[in-house]
Amino acid sequence: MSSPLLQIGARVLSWPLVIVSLWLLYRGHNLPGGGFIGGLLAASAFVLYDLSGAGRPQSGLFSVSPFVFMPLGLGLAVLSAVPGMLSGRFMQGVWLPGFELPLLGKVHLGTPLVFDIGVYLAVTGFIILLSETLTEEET
Amino acid sequence: MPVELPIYLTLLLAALSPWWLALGRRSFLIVGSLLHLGVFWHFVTYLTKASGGAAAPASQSNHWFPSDLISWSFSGNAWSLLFGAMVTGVGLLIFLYSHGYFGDSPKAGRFFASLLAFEAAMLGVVLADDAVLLFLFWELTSVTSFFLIGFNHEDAKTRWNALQALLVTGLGGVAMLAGFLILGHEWGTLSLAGWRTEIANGAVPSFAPLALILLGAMTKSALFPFFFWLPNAMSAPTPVSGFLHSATMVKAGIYLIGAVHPLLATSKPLMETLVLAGGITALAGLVLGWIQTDLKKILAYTTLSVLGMLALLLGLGSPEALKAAVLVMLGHACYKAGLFMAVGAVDKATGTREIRELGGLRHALAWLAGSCLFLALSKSGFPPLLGFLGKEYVYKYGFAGSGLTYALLVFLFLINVGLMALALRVALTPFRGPAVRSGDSIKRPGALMLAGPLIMAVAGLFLGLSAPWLLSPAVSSAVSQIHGKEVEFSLKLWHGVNPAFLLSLLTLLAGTVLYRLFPEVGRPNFLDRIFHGFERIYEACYHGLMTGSAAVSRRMQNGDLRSYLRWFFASVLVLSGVKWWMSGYRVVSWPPGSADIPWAEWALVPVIAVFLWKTITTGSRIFALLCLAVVGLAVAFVFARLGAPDVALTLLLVETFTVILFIRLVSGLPGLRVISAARERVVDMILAGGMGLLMALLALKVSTVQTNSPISATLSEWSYPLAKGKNIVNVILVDFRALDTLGEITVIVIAAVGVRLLWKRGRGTEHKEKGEPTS
Repeated sequence: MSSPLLQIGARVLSWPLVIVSLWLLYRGHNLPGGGFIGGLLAASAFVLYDLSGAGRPQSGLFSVSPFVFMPLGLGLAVLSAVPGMLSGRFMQGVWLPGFELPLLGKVHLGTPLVFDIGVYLAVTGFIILLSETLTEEET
Repeated sequence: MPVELPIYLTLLLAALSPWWLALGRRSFLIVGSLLHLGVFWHFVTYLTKASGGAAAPASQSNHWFPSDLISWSFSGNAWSLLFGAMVTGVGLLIFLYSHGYFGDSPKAGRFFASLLAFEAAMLGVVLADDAVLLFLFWELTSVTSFFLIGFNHEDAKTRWNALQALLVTGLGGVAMLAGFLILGHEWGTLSLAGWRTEIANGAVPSFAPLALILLGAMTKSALFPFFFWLPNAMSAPTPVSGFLHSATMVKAGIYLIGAVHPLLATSKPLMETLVLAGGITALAGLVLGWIQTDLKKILAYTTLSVLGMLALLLGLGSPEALKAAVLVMLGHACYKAGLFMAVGAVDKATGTREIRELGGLRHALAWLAGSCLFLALSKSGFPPLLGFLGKEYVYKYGFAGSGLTYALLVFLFLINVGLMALALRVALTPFRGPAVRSGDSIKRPGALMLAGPLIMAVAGLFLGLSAPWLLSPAVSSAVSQIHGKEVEFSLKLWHGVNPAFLLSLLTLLAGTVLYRLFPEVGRPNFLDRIFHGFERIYEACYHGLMTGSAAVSRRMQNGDLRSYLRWFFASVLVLSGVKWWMSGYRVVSWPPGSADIPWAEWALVPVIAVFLWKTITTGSRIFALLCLAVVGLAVAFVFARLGAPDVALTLLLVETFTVILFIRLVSGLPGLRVISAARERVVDMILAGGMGLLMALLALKVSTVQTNSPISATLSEWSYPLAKGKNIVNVILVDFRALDTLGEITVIVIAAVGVRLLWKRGRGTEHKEKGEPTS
């Protein structure tokens, strides 16, 4: 299955999809979104390449293997537990003082955000690996 | 010194033994012997203290288990200390003997590790005060004896015998645990000492736990109808048989009966069961032993007989009977261990244990012949040996009673006569008569192997002679311990010429005559077949279980995905149905507020129904997938409308990926076909419909049942101040319940790798089968 329409679509849509997914990841703490949803959306950019039949680019972000994403995600998630453990309980959230930024408004940075990034990466890797595996025949 | 220290030391030695033996046999032998001697002395000193009226050694108790009931506690009362001394005393000789038996065989390391671990477990059984702890050590003796009995594991029959011993005693142990737990629940304590206090205060335990405990003891002590495992366990190396069947394994059941004797005594039926089972076992041992040609087998069956007699005496339960039981037990430990070791030595010397192939060894193995004579005399009850005391007190008990006890006396007399004839057969026949083989072909066993029988023979004489001074206090406090009340008496060797003494003489006479009449092996008769029948029952149960479970697995796990689903759905439905029936068919009510659901959601219902119908009726896989996707989108729409935008968003994305990935999967497959019969499809329809209905009802139920105040209120209150987040769903996922999420992402990563591997492997073999290269 090789479709020029999908190939163009993948090239045009991949970066906007990733950016939107990052935005979903960030806003998740206060509004619908989060690492899981963001990860699914980010993976869709990769899946589009797989579906188009031309395969993913040889270099750049979209050439990264899922076996990079998944350990990275799990590692970040586990790592985010460490500060909480030092301050008392395992996996307790630790926050930096909030500050104002243009465009984003009041920003809170802390270990739950790191954890959410871990979830995002793990989910992305998961979907990419499935898609890769199931479409392998053609590539 | 804590009373349980020997357990840890013996375990340590067991753990070290394979390496230690490889480094140096001599140091291992010395240290092991010293350990045994020290431990033996440890028990003897405590025993004299305990029987001197001093306070029993304090039992330790520290909580090792998250429960107020179960504790790590040991106690040393007279009964358990007597066992401790017996186990380690016999254990020392067996330890020395094993060195001679195995020499520097490479198997010795494995052997000593198992033997010492078994010994430690046995000490744990007799010293544990907590019932659960006792069970743990009890099962540890079963497991370690499995390794010992199955030591020569190259032989299939040996493996089968070891498994049989493990299954019978292990399952009995489980029954015992159930009894312990029920009793512990009833009385609020699992301490054996605590139970005896309860009994002394007049509490009456219920029947079921006692019966279960007795069942455990009966399997361990190989009482009727579980007696068959013991003779089969003779496929163990001789030192093991000598240890397991004289002082340890089979005596564990006797120990347990003694330890909970005041409890058992509250139930007349159980005591009668014990008497009856003991009597039948005693008879069965004799009947089956009569036709054996293997010296070790004869000993095994006489062990059965003695165990039966012990159970019978414990079941009678009066102080006199208990006195006799303790003495018989001590005497048996000495002469049986000695005889086993002697038989092993004969086996090593001549290469056979067949009674028909042995004879005239008295010159070649003079020391052994002398020891055997003494041991057999002790077993026969020749004064003033230890065995004489036991027999004397058994008869004394019989004459003290009236009516039925006289019948019992006659029975015990006959058993004793038979046992004596068998003892003489084992101990004399190999040494009497003309020499069967030349002196050169006989390998003289080393000093280590001869020491065991000799020391046991001397011990029988010494303990018998010194019984009034040495044994008396220990036996009397052990009997008090079993009985639960103080019993004061002192042992006497010479009671004057009384009926019991005359009957003892008559036993000796009759036993000798019987041996002279039948010095050779008896012929099988119908009784043997009856008793062997019980082993057939065990075999039938075992094979029935194996074939039965294989048949069930074949039906339930046949590799067909639909049949897995069928079983799963059917089980869920049946179980929920039972629960529903037990609740009295409680009706599910319509949740409040359901009238407020706006029209748009209702409008989705027919849409969902139509697409579901198309999903199951279409012949195209892709069309079915798309229909299912529409259903999913409709549900996502409902979520979005009812205020769960996160769930809706996730569902939307997951739905999309499912469709895309599935289409990749099924695009190469042929269309859907009907492959099941109409009847099957009806069954499937009922199951699927039932399952759907159940889930719908559950969903309704969940929204109407409220047992606690909802957690969402507290969480949303905490969400911003604690976790700086306004989206409570996400805050729960990444902060409040982050550990759960971590688990979930780990699972999906593992699942992805699993899919990858399965896919690759499936492809790989396919290619290989076709002879194409894998890519």
